[in-house]
Amino acid sequence: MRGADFLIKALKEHQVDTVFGYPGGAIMPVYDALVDGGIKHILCRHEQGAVFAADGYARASGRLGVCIATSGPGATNLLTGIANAYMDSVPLLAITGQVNSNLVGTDAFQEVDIFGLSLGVVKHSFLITSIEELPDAIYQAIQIAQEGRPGPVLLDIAKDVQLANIDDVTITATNKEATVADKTSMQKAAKLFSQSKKPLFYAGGGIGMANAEATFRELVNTAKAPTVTTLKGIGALPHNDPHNLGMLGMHGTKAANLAVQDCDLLIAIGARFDDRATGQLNKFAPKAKVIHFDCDAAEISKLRQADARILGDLNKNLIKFQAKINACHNNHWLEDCQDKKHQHQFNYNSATEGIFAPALLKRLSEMCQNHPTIVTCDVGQHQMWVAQHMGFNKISEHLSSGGLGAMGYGLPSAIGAQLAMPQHRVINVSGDGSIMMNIQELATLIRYQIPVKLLLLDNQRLGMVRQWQHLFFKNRFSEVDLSDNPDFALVAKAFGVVSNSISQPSQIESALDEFINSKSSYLLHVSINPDENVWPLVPPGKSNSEFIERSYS
Amino acid sequence: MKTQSDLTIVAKNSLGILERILRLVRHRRFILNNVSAHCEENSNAVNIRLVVESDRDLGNLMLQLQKLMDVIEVRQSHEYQLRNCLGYG
Ligand SMILES: Cc1ncc(C[n+]2csc(CCOP(=O)(O)OP(=O)(O)O)c2C)c(N)n1
Repeated sequence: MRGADFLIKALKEHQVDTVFGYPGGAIMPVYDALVDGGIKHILCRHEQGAVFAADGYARASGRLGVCIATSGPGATNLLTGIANAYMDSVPLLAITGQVNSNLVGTDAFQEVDIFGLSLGVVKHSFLITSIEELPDAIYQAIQIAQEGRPGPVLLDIAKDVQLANIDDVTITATNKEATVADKTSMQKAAKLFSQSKKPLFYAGGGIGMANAEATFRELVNTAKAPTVTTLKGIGALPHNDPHNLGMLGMHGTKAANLAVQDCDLLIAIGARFDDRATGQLNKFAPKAKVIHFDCDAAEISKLRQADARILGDLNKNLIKFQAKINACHNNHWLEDCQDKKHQHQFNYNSATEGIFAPALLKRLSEMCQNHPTIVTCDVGQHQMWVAQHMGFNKISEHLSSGGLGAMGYGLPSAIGAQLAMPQHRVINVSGDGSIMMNIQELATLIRYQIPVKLLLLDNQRLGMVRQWQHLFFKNRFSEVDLSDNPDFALVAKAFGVVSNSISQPSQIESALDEFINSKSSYLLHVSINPDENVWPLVPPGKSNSEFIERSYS
Repeated sequence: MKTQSDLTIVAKNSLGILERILRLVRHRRFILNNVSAHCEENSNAVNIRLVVESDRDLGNLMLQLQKLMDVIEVRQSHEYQLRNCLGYG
């Protein structure tokens, strides 16, 4: 068989059923192998769409996401998506064609040193210029992408290698035995917990990546301690769980940020003290000792010194920790936090006319409770409103470009999520800026009859940037006006996507009803107030207790 | 305060290993004062010696280096001796 056939066969043997990609010269043998390779290939309309779709597929299902592109422009178009997977630790395999091995290094047609270009955004990478290297590289790539802290792996394969002959052998990627923390650290952590009067869980996306939601929930129920989540940790506890104080950080809930500032023990689990979560680092959780659970040694004490470092597999370590602790002895603490949560609930009454996006999203979320729903976001105000006002019961129900904050993530990741989870309802909440970054994927929805629902919150602005210009640049608005947007409902129709447009609160109920119950793809265009801002907000560089609240520009 | 440190790295001599290491050192904001690399005969390991300087935490750099797939070992050599470093091997 050819190297290309071997690749497809290896993917199949590792339970890859769907790949996303875009063909071209240097990857043609692989596309030839796909013709009868027994794997479903989804043709996206831009390589960035393909890599984001593979990312969405991986996040929604917990399985490996695979994308394929040709050399040169195909490969460079993947880069943003590879970086996105890197920042958010998503198991992703990016396969690129490379020019013939004898042409590598000669500036050949469509030759780009993608191996070199991607070094800073991959967990690992391979450039394969001889057929002997191919089998081992494939198996290693599949394994590395998924084991430990997941991440993207690049497999750049010269065209002549794809065509070269190879024996049909079967080698399977094996997972390394997961490590657990040493006894002394665990004992120390348990002791810190028993001494603590105000313990707080700080739950990150790692809980989802490690498939440790269930163990985490049991731990919280045993510990009876309040919990804050990061953007990627949303869903670690059910949204209505009494321990859940919501998201912390720049646009976090007041209850969450106040609890962090007040706690005497912060138990970070699969979280990495990102600046959007911590605000000014040296004022973050100023009274707290820290226990840090992570599978990546380089994350523990990277930004905040841990008093107990619990390194290794989250599932195993959380179970061990749970066995060593009793419920928090100070039950006033949880009650206090819950009171604050109650006191500082979001206000859904808008001061202006028209549709108030937070209220609309809250209603959408309520209406979606009857059926498992995945929501993907783009980046901006709408992304923060989704995080604040929609309720999630699992981490994999909320897909957001967290670390990279890449506009254009929403639609393609929804495509990947829907293909991975066909029984789920999948909704992309986007903004009028972000949607234009990968709008070509509307064609993918139609081609494969993918029933993704698109909720477009149109404020005719690059809203989040406008908000910062309002708050931090004295209202000097620079290049944020999108009032000449196309007619998005008409754009959708041109692709064959059913659409509707609303602008009045009275239209919300019936429009949302039709939207979520539609059997096909659907775009609901919602006109909202251009001057609306996301509140509360912790200004960059400020402590999380210094949040500012509603004002209008 | 900036401090200078001397690191010894043993790695698999795979494609781009030196690039990966140097990229990481730069990105994590360490200045490279000296570097030498040398492959052992009949082995696919490479020994790399770095003299780096930063006000960032060296321990974290070492953990980041250790995370690179093909890095086998990262050690800090306490005696910083430029001559040894240059003539390493
Ligand atoms: C690829 C990319 N380019 C630029 C940015 C910077 N950015 C962050 S939010 C934002 C505005 C997004 O506008 P829109 O999608 O309309 O969402 P809104 O904030 O209005 O809800 C921009 C430009 C980004 N995050 N990603």
